[in-house]
Amino acid sequence: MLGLQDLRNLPRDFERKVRELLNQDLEEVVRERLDNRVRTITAGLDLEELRAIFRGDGPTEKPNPRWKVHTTSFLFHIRPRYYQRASTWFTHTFRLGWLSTYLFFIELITGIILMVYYAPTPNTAYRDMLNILSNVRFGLLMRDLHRLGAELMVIAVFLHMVRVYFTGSYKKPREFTWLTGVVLLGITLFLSFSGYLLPWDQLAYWAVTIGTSMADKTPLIGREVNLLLRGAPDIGAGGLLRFYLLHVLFLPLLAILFISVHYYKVSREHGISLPAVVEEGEMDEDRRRWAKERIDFIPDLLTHELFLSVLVLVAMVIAVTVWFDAPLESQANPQVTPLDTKAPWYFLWLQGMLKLGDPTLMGVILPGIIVAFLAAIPYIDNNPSRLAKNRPVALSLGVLGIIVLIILSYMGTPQWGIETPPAVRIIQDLVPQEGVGPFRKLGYEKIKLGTFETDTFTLPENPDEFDILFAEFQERVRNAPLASPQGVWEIDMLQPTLKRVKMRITWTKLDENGNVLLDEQGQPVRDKYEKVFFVHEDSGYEYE
Amino acid sequence: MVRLQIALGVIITVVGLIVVAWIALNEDANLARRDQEILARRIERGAVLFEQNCYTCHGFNAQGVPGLGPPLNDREMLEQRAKEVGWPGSLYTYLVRTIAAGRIVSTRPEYLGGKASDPNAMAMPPWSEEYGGPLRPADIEDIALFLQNFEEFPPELLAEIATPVPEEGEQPPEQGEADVDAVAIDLFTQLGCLGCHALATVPGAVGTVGPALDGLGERAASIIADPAYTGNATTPEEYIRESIVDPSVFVVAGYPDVMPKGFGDQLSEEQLDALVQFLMKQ
Ligand code: HEC
Ligand code: HEC
Ligand code: HEM
Repeated sequence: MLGLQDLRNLPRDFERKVRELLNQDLEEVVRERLDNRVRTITAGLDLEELRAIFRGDGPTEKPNPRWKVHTTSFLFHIRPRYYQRASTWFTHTFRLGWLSTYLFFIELITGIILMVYYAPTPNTAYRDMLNILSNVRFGLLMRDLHRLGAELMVIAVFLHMVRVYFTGSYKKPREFTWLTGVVLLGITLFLSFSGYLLPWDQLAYWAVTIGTSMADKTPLIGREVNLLLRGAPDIGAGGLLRFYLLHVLFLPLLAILFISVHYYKVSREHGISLPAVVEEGEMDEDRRRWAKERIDFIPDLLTHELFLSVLVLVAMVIAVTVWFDAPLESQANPQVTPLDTKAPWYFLWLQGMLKLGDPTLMGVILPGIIVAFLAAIPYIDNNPSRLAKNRPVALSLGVLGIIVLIILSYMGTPQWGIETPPAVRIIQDLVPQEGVGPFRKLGYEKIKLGTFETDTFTLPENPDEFDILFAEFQERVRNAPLASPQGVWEIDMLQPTLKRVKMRITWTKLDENGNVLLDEQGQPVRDKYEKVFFVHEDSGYEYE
Repeated sequence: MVRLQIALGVIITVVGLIVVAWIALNEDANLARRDQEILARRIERGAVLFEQNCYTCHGFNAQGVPGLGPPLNDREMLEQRAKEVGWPGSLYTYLVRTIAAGRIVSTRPEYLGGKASDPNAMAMPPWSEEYGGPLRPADIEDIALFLQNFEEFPPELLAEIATPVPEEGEQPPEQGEADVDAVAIDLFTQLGCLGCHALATVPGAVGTVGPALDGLGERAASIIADPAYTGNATTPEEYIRESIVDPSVFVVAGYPDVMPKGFGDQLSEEQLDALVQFLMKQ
């Protein structure tokens, strides 16, 4: 209880308190308090120490407070306290394993943000994509980053594997690390592929239809695997939901598990390998000792990784603002098979292989053997040396493998081996089913009304872009391998803001022997290909 | 190294923040632009779907085909119709629901000709796959957006839509004969003849309900000479006039008697002449 006496003493107590405070060094007090705060946040580093870290100076206290962080902080306890200098040389790892991990986190974060605006059903998925582009602030940025991150991650993981192979780092005792790596490569590819379907556009739908039909070719269980993936004989609501769950739940969880195991093996059990020269090569002993010296994670590697993090992130943001656009075609339509279907580029090698022979052999059995071989490399290769000069066979096989991969990928591109009828090709090149193409690119204003015929058209003296485009069309129609070909563009207005364009190519029909077919009246029979489409004032094709 | 990387890192971060700030400043304008583009492209798609699925009954320009389907591009439709049927929502939702579910019982039999009295005929079939039709919800929405885009039409432009607007500097059509032809082509389009008849000289005339009218002038003579002819015409001109005014007198073999009967009352004498003269030359 507050007595009367206390009340009477109050002014005096207050006065004393103020005097006490004034007598103290205010700066000192503030610094001490701040220090305590900082120490709690940084798991034991005080301000002075932090500044020393950022200056690149040595530790200010003994024992080294930076090591304590590795036991008190969860995030830092995952990282080792020190590395051997040579194992951190940039040209040894190129930071590709780090980059794979970092990109995985970027994918997690951008992916979770995209999930907020996306529902995986055939009727909403595509609409949600449009909504993300036109109605969600930074939606386009998130989507582009997510797409770019995914493609970069495939590249990073692959290159990481290549570097591990060429530095011989998979050899004893790191065989198991390599094995978990092969699993991670598979997970990364399937993560990308399962995400491919989610926008539910033509590109996605048909790439995934082709992809899953490959599963169909698996001996014995093919039909079942395919059914399990698609949820029905054709990809529909069930398939979309399954791919979604794979993409946002199952595969990420699996990835987190395997990245953890992989990382544990690398950093806790064996450490990153030393470059082969340092380990077994000829080297000045002083230099070797220096190369094997321990360097602390804090601050050297920490600042380096922070630096790389902002570098990569900012580079990605600039890339998506300047040139990288995640593609979005028209809504998936099972009834319309696109003229040019193509697999995502990281599966082009598989499509190339499929063109070479029996789909069961080329699409399932051979890739299976390749994966098994990849996983078994550390066990097959029993050459104990990691030095390049002692591994001529392994290195040449590696180079050969990469060359074959590039050739197969090239063969997988759509130009190779598939033909479209000439009339369809000409019009398709001008106004592709998907995307803009040179005709729409003219823009609403420059598209002229009227009828234009290849038989009568002559280039005016001061041709504009439209005339030039028609002249090119005329040229291609005249040179097409067709009998007396004729092309027409008919352009009129359907609505005050909507132009209607009919493009037509007609030609005389020939029988197998190249003779002109005649109808009952003795007139030659004409064949035709026609495409009708519209251009709206606000479509903005000219800006693409 | 540590210091250098920290300095560079700070610079890069600042650059990154500037880029993000720049994106943020333009974001609202960009969203609005993309919204407009997406809408415009959906209208284009809707127009394609309309031309593929609906022209047989509503005509290529949505001007309606007498006896088969009402016009969808006129003021009445765009401004009054939803209120008239007591639809509580917007024109857009009216269009979406009507197209998706079709119409079992006709609300305006005057547009349907003989078909309206057939108790088994559905006025318009459903189009959405939800109700057994061929189109998906997004397709229906695109068509509705396209039809709604007719709203921007000033009524006086209606007459011009079918024929291309002459470009600047282009010769205006010659007076006299060409003028009569233009009137006839307009009529042929406006009245929906093109929904049922193919005719090479009229853009969009590819209907297959009735016979193609190419070469009619020559054909007419042989038709009236044929003993199977049941009408009263004695010259090709008279035959064509009769076919329009009173189609049931003689029904071309192989075709049903579905050509609308009211054209005679709708057309003025000059208009009928123009049509007949025009068809004679085909
Ligand atoms: C088989 C002929 C036929 C086809 C094909 C057809 N319609 Fe119709 N449509 C009709 C008829 C008949 C009506 C009038 C129904 C009535 O009398 O209530 C109608 C009415 C409509 C209406 C409501 C008009 C009003 O005034 O309330 C709309 C909108 C419509 N159609 C859109 C379409 C669209 C879009 C398509 C193509 C996807 C289409 N129609 C295809 C015959 C057809
Ligand atoms: C509902 C569809 C329909 C519409 C609309 C229509 N027709 Fe017809 N028309 C027919 C059919 C079916 C025939 C053939 C049967 C008959 O002779 O009645 C025909 C026949 C004709 C013939 C005779 C053709 C011949 O080969 O002998 C002429 C001429 C003709 N129509 C002109 C017109 C004109 C002009 C219009 C527009 C004012 C028009 N039609 C609108 C369906 C239509
Ligand atoms: C998601 C995919 C992957 C992630 C996140 C990942 C991550 C890492 C990291 C961070 C390292 C430390 C060294 C470095 O940065 O290079 C590493 C090392 C290693 N990785 Fe991976 N990796 C992945 C895929 C793979 C693949 C596909 C392989 C091979 C098939 C592989 C095999 C190895 C091996 C053998 C090491 C030890 C290398 C050494 O000690 O020098 N990893 N990985």
